[in-house]
Amino acid sequence: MEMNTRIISHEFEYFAPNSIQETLILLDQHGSEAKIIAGGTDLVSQMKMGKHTPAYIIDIKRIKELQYIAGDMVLKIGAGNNLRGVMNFFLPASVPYAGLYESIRSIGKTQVLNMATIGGNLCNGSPKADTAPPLLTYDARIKLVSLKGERILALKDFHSGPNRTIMEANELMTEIQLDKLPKGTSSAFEKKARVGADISKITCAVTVVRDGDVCRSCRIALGAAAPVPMRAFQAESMLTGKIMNDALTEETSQQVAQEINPPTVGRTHPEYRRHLAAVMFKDGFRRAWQQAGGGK
Amino acid sequence: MIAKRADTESVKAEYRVIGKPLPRHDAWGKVYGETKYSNDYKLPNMLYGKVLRSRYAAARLLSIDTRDAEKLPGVVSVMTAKDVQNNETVTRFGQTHAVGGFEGLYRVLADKKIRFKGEAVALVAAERRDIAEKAIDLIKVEYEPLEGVFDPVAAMQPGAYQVGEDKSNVICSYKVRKGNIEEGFAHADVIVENTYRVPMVDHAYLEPESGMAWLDDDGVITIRAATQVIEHFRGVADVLGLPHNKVRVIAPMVGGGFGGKEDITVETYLALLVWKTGRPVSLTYTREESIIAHGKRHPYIMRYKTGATKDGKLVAMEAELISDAGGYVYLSPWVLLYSTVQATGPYDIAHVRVDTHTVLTNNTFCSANRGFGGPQPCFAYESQLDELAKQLNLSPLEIRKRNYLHTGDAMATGRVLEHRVETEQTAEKVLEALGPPSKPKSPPEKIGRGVASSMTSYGRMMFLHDTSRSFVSLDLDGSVTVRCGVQDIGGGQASSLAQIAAEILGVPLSDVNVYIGDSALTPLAGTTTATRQLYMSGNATLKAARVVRDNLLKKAAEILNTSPENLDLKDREIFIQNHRKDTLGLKKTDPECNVNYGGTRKAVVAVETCVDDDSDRVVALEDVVKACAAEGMPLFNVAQFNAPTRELIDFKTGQGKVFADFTFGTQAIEVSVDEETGKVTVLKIVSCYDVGQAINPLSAEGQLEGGALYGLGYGMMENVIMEKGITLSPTLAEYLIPTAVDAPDVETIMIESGGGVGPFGAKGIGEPSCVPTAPALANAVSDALGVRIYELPITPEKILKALGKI
Repeated sequence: MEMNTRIISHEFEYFAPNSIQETLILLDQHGSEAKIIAGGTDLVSQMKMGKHTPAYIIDIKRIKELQYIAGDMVLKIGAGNNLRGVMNFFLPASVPYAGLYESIRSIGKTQVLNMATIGGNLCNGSPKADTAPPLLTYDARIKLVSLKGERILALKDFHSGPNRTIMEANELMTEIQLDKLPKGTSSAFEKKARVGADISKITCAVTVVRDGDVCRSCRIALGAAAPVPMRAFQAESMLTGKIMNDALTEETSQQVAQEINPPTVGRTHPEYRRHLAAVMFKDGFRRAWQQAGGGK
Repeated sequence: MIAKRADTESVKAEYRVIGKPLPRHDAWGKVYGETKYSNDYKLPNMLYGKVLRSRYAAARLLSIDTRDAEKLPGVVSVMTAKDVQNNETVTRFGQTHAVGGFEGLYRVLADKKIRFKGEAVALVAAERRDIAEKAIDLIKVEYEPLEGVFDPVAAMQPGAYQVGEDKSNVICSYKVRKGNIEEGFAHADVIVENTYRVPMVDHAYLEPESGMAWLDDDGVITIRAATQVIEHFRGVADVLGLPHNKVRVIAPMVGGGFGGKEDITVETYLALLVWKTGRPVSLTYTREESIIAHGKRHPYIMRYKTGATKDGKLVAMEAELISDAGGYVYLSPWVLLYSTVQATGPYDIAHVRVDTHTVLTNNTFCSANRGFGGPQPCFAYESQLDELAKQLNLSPLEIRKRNYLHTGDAMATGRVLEHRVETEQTAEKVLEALGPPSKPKSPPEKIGRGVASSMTSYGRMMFLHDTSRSFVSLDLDGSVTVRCGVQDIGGGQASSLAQIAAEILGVPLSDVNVYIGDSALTPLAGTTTATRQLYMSGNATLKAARVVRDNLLKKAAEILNTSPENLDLKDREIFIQNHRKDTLGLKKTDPECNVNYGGTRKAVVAVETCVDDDSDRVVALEDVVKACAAEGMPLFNVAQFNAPTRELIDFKTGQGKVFADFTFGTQAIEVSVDEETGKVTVLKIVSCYDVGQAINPLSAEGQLEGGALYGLGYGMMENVIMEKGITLSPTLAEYLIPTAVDAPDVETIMIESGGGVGPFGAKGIGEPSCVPTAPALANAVSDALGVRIYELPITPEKILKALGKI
């Protein structure tokens, strides 16, 4: 039985490095037995439940090098920014990135937003991670660094299964990169949860590039709809270059519902998630489309 | 939201402290976080206790090997069933009066047969919490898993797996028989028949079960634990084979109970570990232990068949209720009896047939939870009424008005309601307050409104011969002390007692100090359960305070050369009525807003210095107290209030009187439902009760608002999900309760009929306030969508299924 005992009953060694370089050295030495802690909002409760029993904890909360948001053509977000900082950066809800802003806001709890980091939200690997769908619709890239070098890859290739990522034990996520979005872009985020402040039951992010009545492109991503945060590529392709009308939105929403891969075990019926996915796509698309304003 | 108080009669204005919205005396400590929880207490040399719990829901316990755990450095004691002197006891009911029947076996630590997952198997006391945790893992337990039974209907069948050692899983069954049910249905123009299901739910109090205990200098095991029943000291002493006066229980001022701390929680474990080690021990359940292993509200399956004539008069009701008691008996028979008596709701029905059963299964045991058997049938009978109204084309209010019981009417159990019944008025008021319907914002949104009424008993069952005691005394300076063994872990009971004493003795509330919840030092006041404390201990405190007041007035009459009947007592002065100083034109605190009692004393002194010529009519309380003291006239009293009693009802027909009185009320809810996602947004709740007399309107309003949210959780989200005895929702991430984000606007309305059996005509409100919320919600959702949900909680998924969308 996974029992949260409210205490971490195993012993571990604790490091609080001050730089990325120090962190990489520690990871190189202890990687497979170590866990990175940033905000700890996921990790600490998992440790109390005995899901992780790392011999080493590497706390990166103090590393200022990971806490920046800067750039013009490419917006670079340090992985160590807390969610509240990221949310406030996009305030007042800047139209192109409104989906990311809304996704963080949906988490609701101030304490969590102050502690949790954007890198942690992704590295935890949960298919429910609230920031993943909007970032996927922005074609976000992530930077992974180790003593052996660095690699930049698309976020869509990062998650490899429920609570798993392709990150190596000696690697640290340092940055999330977003390309500047074209004129006429807007995005929206929809979430269904059981109560006001809750883990998502299903989420959907939509980013559209609108030119009058024409949808130049539409990117759709969903959380808690498949073993990993996912893009609905086939549904997206139905809209590229099309003049929008209600029938097309409806047809696309049915494709979104078909395209997701909801868990068949658990308390939520897969048909319920499919139904919600369609409704949420429509709501999200409608909002993003209106915000985009037609470029007129 | 400021409470509205309807129907305030002119006579109420005479009260000085009663009925005033005074901030509770314990409020600031809680706001500042200074009030200590059970888990906050520490003593030098204290050990940490931990409970090993069974991995199986149904198993034979073959062997326990504690040797490795005992060898772990820092472990001081490991205990199993063989170390407990009287491990097997029988759950009994009653305090002064033994009541037979339905006695259930209860084991302190598991032995022979495991009856639910999470049953306590062994106890550990260690120097540190983490060592205790490790020691638990080192205890080797050998089980032989058994098949078990997890569905109460299956458990009732002949040949079903036997949960315990008894011959049948059926703990008990009750009946109500009134009139002739076949004849009743023959007269019905419309009959609706449905099956309703309600889930197992948790109390989700602020602090899980927790306590700290030590062996005091006097050799008494002293336990400080959040409990609704300090009188469990007797049961704890019995387990250890000690005289009752060698165990003392003290209850703190916070933690929350809602019925979950009515049964023993940590007390016996603490006493065992303290007795064995001689050292102080602290033990707090984790939230998961609390959800998995402590008593829950019973899930019910309820089949209701209700018939009405074409003009909307109910003529027949047939109901069968099956409750899942889980692994042990605990309070299940009594919860079921409450359901049985209240199965017909606040309605007058000529022909009634009710059959109820409570059944053992290998699920987590169920026991008391706010409403105690009231919320389950209310969901069913109130849903039925709306279904009938729909078929008869009557409004929900109209069908209810045609069937409400009124003062002097008899319930289905034959019991005549001799006290005030104002249900109809509460229904009219909630609908009036709900105002004009909201407009839907966009097409998939539908607006719906629902209403539900209930009658809920307050005070324990009369055959228990309930009593409460309270001590009231005046000190030489005129300050007042109340000692009463009431448990107040959040409900506000202590503050109400202070208001009663202040009213009777003519002092400001700030002059009253209340000692509560100590089984050795405060007069025993019975349990904080059954919405009984204001009724019982309020009456006991009133009685004691009146004796003190009579003595005061007798002495004052001598001083003022008049007779006591001519005297009144207010603001620390005794005066001849109608000759009070303020009638001479001197300004006093406005009696309607004397919240600012702090400065009153100074004002009195100032007034006294300038009214020398009035000294034959007024005397200071302090002077009378001193005169009484000088002459040995007692200014204290311990009073006992005995509830009215009756013998057991006739179990073949359910006829008889079980409760002293009921609280009647109605709630109305407006919802907006998104037909596309199934999401329900509660726009407004209005809750109206006849509270008899609000002793403190702020506290009463808090109960009404809290009750509505408690009921809303039941209606919308709360559900202890079990699969073959395994709890799938053991944390507050899975077991959902409404948070501030989910809380709608709750408007409360209080009718003060003065018709209750509590002090000043008060009725109890703690439990009644949560009963009709879920059916009001169900009726609102049904009104919005045109389809009904027959099973709580009403989730978006169930709504989409009912709409045929998934």
